[in-house]
Amino acid sequence: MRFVRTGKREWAWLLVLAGFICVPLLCSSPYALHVITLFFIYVMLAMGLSIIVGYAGLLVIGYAAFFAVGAYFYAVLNTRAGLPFEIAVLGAALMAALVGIVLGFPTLRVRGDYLALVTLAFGEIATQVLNNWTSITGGPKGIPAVSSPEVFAWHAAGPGQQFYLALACTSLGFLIMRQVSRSPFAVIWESIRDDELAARACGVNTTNWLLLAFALGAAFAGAAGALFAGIQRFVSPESFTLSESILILSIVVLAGGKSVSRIMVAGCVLFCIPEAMRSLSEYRTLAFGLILIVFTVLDHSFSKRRSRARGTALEEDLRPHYESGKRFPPCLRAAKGPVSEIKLTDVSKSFSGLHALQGVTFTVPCEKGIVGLIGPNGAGKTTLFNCIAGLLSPDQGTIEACGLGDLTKKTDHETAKLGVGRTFQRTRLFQSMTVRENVFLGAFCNQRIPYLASVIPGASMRRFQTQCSIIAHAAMDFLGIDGFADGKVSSLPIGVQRKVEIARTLAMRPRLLLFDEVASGLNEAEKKELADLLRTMSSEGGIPIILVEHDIAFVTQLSKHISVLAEGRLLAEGSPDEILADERVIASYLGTRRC
Amino acid sequence: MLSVNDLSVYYGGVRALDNVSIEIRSGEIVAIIGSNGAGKSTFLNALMGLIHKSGGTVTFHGEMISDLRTEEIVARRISLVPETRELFPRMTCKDNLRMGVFLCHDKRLFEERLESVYGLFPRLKERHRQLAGTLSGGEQQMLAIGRAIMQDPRLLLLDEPSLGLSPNITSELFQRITEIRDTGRAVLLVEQKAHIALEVADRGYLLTVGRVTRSGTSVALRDDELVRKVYFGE
Repeated sequence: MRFVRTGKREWAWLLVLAGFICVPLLCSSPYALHVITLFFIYVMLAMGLSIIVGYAGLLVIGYAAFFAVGAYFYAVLNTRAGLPFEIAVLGAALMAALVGIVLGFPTLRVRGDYLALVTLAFGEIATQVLNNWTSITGGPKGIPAVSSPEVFAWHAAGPGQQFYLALACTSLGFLIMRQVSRSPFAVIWESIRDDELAARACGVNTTNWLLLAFALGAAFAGAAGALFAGIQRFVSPESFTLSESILILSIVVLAGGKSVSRIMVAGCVLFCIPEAMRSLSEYRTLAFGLILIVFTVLDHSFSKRRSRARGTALEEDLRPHYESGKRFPPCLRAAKGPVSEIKLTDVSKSFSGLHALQGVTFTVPCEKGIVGLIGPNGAGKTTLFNCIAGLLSPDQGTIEACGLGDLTKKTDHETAKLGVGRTFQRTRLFQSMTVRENVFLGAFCNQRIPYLASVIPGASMRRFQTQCSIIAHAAMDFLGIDGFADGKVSSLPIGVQRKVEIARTLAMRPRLLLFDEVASGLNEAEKKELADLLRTMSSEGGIPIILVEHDIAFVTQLSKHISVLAEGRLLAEGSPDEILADERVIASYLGTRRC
Repeated sequence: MLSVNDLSVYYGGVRALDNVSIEIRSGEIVAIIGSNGAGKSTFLNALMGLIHKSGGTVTFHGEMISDLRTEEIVARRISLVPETRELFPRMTCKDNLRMGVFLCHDKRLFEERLESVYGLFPRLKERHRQLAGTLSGGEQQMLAIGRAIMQDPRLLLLDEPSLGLSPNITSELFQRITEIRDTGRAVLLVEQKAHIALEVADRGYLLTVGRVTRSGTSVALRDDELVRKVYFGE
């Protein structure tokens, strides 16, 4: 569990650090020292890119552009204004982060292959600018005579000093990465990578979080750039070409995304070994290609075997435990009062000619507790849920929720932040994460994220972690899934996955819950348990619940009020008994035989 | 027609299926019931060769199929409707159905079977040009079943077919399942709605934490104490 993990491998890292400190004492070749210094810079770059590619799951190709921003920032300000190194590094990081945000804002509209293309273009534009904006960048010739870094009057002129300077910078970067990997940042980014929609349903403003990943990743490149400029004492566009970007990306991909130790190994394989093979001259590139292929294939089959062997720490019995008469945990009660009613006025929604909702007008009396929403397949029930939850914006009409305002004007993560929790018809969990982490995402919704503490090495996030843990464990315990807390959700049966999703919405301390077919895939005994839990949530927890469900027995025993949709219109509404007796409902939905 | 002997599956170190043996004869509906996590879906996936079997044999019409790849098993006309549906979301409804007859290139046959699927689920005919990913949940379930039936399977494996279907369509679906049986085919049914499942099935097995703990005719199972306890919560 990353989020609360305590360092077990501290000593291993100290050993590595000690090993590196000894290198200049043992090795007298300035060339070798220089190569290792450059290796450190690549590790920094790869760590930064791993935030964007590994955590946030964004494929970015033109990453060397951020490297260039940092390098030129230092080179220009150093040659013209004599800016000292320690300030320049910070400035370069900030500058690159700023460029990252400016670039990210328009480009984050696209994902996947398209994002890769857009960032590729950005990298190319950057090289063009460097080549042609002669007055600042010196054009293809670059900027010579950059002074070597001086940190608090300590002049890093020789290869040994530069080695230590790079080692110090990389160590700092490593500490920041470690802090980030244990912070809520990591959990939130991974949730976006796994399922963006579900993350938004937990109140995560995905655009802002991805921008943050961009900015932080770019900041690493900026700092690395300044260090590079200081060590080379010269910058030119040649150092920031596409092949540079590809090399960094290859290191991250070979490292499998996030682990810093693997990044160091991959950096060694892809940078140091080819460097050591300079004597092969014309065969060097060929050798590099072969190394890349062999290592990638080996590593791929290796990690596949490892993930199969790892399994999950689950007990043999995969059933959630259940005790009747469970109390609703008080810490899950909504901070603000529950939603008392939702007024739908003339809500319509079409999908390219298909009229899913056609002017639906009715009031959902949430103050009654649990209310049902039923109707034939394709009646528009899920569409209506999506409109309430802000995932879809209706073509016309308003949805007024008491105390929350007009929900049609809000996006999904805003609605979630207001306290509307929802589940999805086909459960949408973060598949690569554990049950606990999934539920944490819900708990984050109501907590102040410790932004600064997440990036400052050694800063304590204990208060935040305890708060979230209490809420998440209360939710898991209430649903009887705490035994699975460390299991990966993808390995769990559907019934348990549904409970994880419910726990995630409960951890949001919701003011309204929208449950889309939560009972499907459960057997009779499990449905009884779930019904008990829902009753407790509604009566003791005071959370109003809207149920979309096909199991008529399940809905009617729970609901105080049922609305029936058919063909995108309201067919009937009333108490369960009225609905069961309604001729039109029987004809269009229930059929003659009750299931 | 299908006999499974001592099938075992491990996930990591956890035994998901422990020496499960099951027999299905032609013209029979066999139900597998059990609570969530009992290993029912694992069993179906292992039959189809979708997950690695650690031990046991599967014979279909006298032929060993335990070591065949999934596509070879499908070619022997065994179809699975997975619990997760696994549609092709960016293909139209009709193209999804076309994928069901991927192994057969007879156009007339395609049209014929298409009509029979449309007969079962008229809603699919209305939506035939719509992308599968944009169908409502219940419609997607219909499409998944329709795609499996398109192949005209000799053995149909259904994993929670009623998931997300409205009551009237559910009862119609089970009616069709008995019709499929009556044409001499076999159906292996995994279903949470135990009372309906045992109503249409001829025989059944109760799976508890990866082991077969009860088997017998549906009537016997329905009255079984253990089944009533696990399943109906009585």
